[in-house]
Amino acid sequence: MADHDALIDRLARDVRPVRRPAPPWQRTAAWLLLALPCGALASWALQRRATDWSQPGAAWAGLDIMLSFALGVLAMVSAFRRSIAGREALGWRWFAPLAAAWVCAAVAGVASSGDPFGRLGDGVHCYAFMLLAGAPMIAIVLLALRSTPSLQPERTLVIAGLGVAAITQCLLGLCHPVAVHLLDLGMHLAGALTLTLGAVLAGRRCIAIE
Amino acid sequence: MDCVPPLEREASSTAASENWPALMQRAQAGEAQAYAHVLRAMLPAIRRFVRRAIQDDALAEDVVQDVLLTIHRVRHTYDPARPILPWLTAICAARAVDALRLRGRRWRLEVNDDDAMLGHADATSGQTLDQLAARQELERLLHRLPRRQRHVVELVHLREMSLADAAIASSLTLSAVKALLHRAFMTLRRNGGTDHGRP
Repeated sequence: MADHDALIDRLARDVRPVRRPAPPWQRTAAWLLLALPCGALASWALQRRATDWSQPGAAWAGLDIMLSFALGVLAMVSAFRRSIAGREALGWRWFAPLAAAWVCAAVAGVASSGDPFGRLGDGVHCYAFMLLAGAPMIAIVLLALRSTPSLQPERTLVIAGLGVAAITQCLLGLCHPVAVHLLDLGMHLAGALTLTLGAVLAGRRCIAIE
Repeated sequence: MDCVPPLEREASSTAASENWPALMQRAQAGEAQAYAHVLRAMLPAIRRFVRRAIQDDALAEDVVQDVLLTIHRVRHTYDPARPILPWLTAICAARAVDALRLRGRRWRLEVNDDDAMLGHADATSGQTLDQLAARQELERLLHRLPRRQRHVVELVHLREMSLADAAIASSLTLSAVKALLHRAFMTLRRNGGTDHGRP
């Protein structure tokens, strides 16, 4: 007991007023306000034309963007919740319907395309776009998560990485041909995977509790 | 089935747990006395929770200290509008799991090869038995420390570095070095006391 008493005395001597973190939805809104422009600016390095919404299949592309945005926002709220001890991430019930709808919209988009399989090399540009736009977003989310060091940093970062990937997919949808090919879609998913992995590798030490 | 979390069961026995959120709120405002009070009040519940997860007394006490340090590090994340026990339980559980995982990893890395040990030439054969015994005792005690604590003790007390130099050499902050040293000595003192006189 005496050992812990000494430690407690020392900790109490060091105690300073602290500021509690904002609620997860507020942190998500702040992150979006900062990360979206940064991601868009970073992606300007790649010349892309805005989506032509007069093309057939534009409705699926529009739905895809909205679902990606919703999934991204939910994932970020979930990550900010999870970064706090004793708070759980949002359950799968929140994500499953949206993820299923996203898959359906993507498949419908591929099916409505004239060339469903695409050609080798399709999507490389999209992959580069996702990494360019996603990198500053990851940096910003790591800075945000540093203020609430996580007991399980890897899990928090996987969710945050998926959130960044979804928001990046949303940005990509604004400057992407309406027609999506399977190879193209595969590269989008590869981009999402790379961003998630990047978030975990870049942040697991910096948001862990020392 | 009893679905009350273990820490809540423990805490319910100490009626004062109702005051913890208020005390923690005052601690968040920088009130040292309230902070010390709430940490001391939480200590028995933390210890019982940790001991339930970890049977090894020395390791359990290490984890209790780790939990206290973690509470200090993340005290700003507690929301006084919410119950405090889920917050505390999550910290205890995560720290206990981390410690068990670390110990398991260390055990997996240890190799017991008696033949190789017997065949190895003894470089210390010229030393007196007393010196040898003291050295072995020191190594045995140091070996019980977690890697980071052992490293800091070696830097500061065996290589006689200053705390600041040790912090630079181990890429840690000065306060982290102090905390590691403190925990190392607590562990050494505990081990030294309980093992004294044993073969």
